[in-house]
Amino acid sequence: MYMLNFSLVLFIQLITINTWAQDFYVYHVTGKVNYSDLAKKNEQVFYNYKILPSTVFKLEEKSELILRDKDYNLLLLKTKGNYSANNLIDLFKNKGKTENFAKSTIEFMSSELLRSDEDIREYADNYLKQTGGVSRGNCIEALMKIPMNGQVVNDSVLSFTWKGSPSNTSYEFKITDESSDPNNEKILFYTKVQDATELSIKADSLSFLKENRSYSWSVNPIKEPNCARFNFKYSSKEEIKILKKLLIQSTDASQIMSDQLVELASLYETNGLIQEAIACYELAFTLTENQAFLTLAKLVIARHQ
Amino acid sequence: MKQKRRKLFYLYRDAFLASLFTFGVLFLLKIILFNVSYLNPISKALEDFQLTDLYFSNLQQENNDVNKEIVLVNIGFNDRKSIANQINTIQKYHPKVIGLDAIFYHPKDSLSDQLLAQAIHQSSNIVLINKLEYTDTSKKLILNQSDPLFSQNTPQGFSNFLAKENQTIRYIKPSINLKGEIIESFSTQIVQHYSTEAYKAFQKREGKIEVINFKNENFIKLDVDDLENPALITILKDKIVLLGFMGSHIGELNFEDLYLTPLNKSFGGHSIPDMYGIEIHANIINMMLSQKYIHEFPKFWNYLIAFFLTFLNMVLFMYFSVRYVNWASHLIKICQIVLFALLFFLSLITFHYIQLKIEPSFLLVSVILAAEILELYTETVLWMNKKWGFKTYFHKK
Repeated sequence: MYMLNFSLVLFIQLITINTWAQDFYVYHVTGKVNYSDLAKKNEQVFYNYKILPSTVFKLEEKSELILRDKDYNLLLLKTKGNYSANNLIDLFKNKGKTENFAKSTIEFMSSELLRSDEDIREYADNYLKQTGGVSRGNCIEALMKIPMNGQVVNDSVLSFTWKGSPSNTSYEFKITDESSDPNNEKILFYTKVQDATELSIKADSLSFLKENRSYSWSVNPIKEPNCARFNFKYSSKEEIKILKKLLIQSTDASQIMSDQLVELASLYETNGLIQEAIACYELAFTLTENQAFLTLAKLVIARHQ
Repeated sequence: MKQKRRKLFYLYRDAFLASLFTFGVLFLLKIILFNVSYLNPISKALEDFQLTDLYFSNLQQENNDVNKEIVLVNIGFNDRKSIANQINTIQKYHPKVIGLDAIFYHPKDSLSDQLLAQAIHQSSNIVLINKLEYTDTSKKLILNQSDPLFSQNTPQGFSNFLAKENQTIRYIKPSINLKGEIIESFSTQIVQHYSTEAYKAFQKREGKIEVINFKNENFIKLDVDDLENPALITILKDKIVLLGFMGSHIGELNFEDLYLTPLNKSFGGHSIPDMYGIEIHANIINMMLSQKYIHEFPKFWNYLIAFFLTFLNMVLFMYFSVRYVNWASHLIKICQIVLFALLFFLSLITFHYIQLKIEPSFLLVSVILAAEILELYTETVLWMNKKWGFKTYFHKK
């Protein structure tokens, strides 16, 4: 019995050695592809990595991995999923095998003829349970912080700050025309930012920047889509000073201080002076220690982020 | 015997007249559908559909092989200085030809321009694009090219595809005669610099319009910041490198320079474009290099065959309606379904095995309408028979 087991193990090892005598390597990678083997776990794939019998590749969405054998025969993997070394050998073996076109055409025609074209409303529950219906995009959470959405800015140096992404430290930063279609946006300024979550740009260096015009800005980790954009309006210092003065004058001075601050905060928010509005609520809280003012400040942040 | 021969004559004559009638109705329908603006959604969906789209998008075998001759490099939103850096880096890997799918109309800042001009002129393996543009003011087709700083003494080819605005890219005109000068397309120029053999074979096709053979080809794509890697020497050496826009990063969809192709799974209107211009050029170049051209059946022959088959249909349907009066409509319907499936199947088979493109849409519609038109024709000739004694196959005496 022991001899039988031993010969079986030996036989399996011989087969494995024979198969791996072919040598497969990583030829090219696009996107996020990791590998695990006996020595490493979930490491990023690199060029010329030699595939071991224990290797498992993990391909993320929109990634591609090209493998080669020692004769430079190539194999492309582009479907998301995990691939073991044995899967890869099978794929290499089946590569180039041609299907019977007539057969596959007849299969296609019959499947089209038999395809159900019932009204989706009649089997809505089952359909949603099985497929989930149309899922809503794969955009990441918006990272942008300041300027907040709808904020008026007036500094000679424009400062943009955002939250860090847990998965990536390189970002793409864009300023676009506010009116342009998000799918076909007109990019006015574009830069990449490495290992930082803020960017300062001299207003003078942005030749497109005009007073009293609105723009959009967005930031996203490189290779991760971002569907959100924050709008901001560029205004002159003088104009903002006048606006602030007018807004303060328009509040009812006969009210108690905290009520006057709330009224002013509301006016500030309406006119794009978001930071000032938050400051008013915080001051009202400091004066009265009433938590409701802090809640109002948080609501302003929520409305503009 | 004489009566039998006469009957046969009436059958063929009536089938011929009914086929003419069918074609008349079809042309009328075509005019109504494509010319009346109220019916625009229908015409839009139909106008931009060919049966071969079904082949390209759904019936081609999945391919997990990789093209070894053409490599695509994304230029993203790079400025001129960065593109110059990309070219210089690529040159280190000794590609055979570099095709740059970007146009630089005017000088911008002198330092970046100088760097780009140097990168373009330092080697003779770069092909640039130019654009054919029709100006409304002069009513002329003109060739717009990059500033002479970049384009002087550099091979160029026009990047235009042959398609209507917002419609599927299917055709390429490989060269055009402009004011007596033959101007070649970007793809043709690249093939000329890469393979003399493929270029000579292509020249034998006399510059006629080509149907692009989109073959589910997989090209290696390098992203904007993927070029600094010594291992790329094995991928790029002696290859064609096409530099062009494929989104800010590969995998991110950007509608700039994105087009509809027959590979789009959703055809017949309301589709999202699926391929960047540079990828379409890669497919054209691959077709020229592999010399796997699609042979298109001339339109005249297409119509002639359609007419002949409609005529045979009519003979069969008329025979059924006189010989098997009670079962005629059933037999005709069965024939229509079988014929439709057979024609559909045969046109796909010929396209797959011998790359012969026969567009059967007209014929398929004529098969669908044949029964209804036959009914209309029968009633008309019987009325003519009653009124003027017009002899017909359907007349019982």
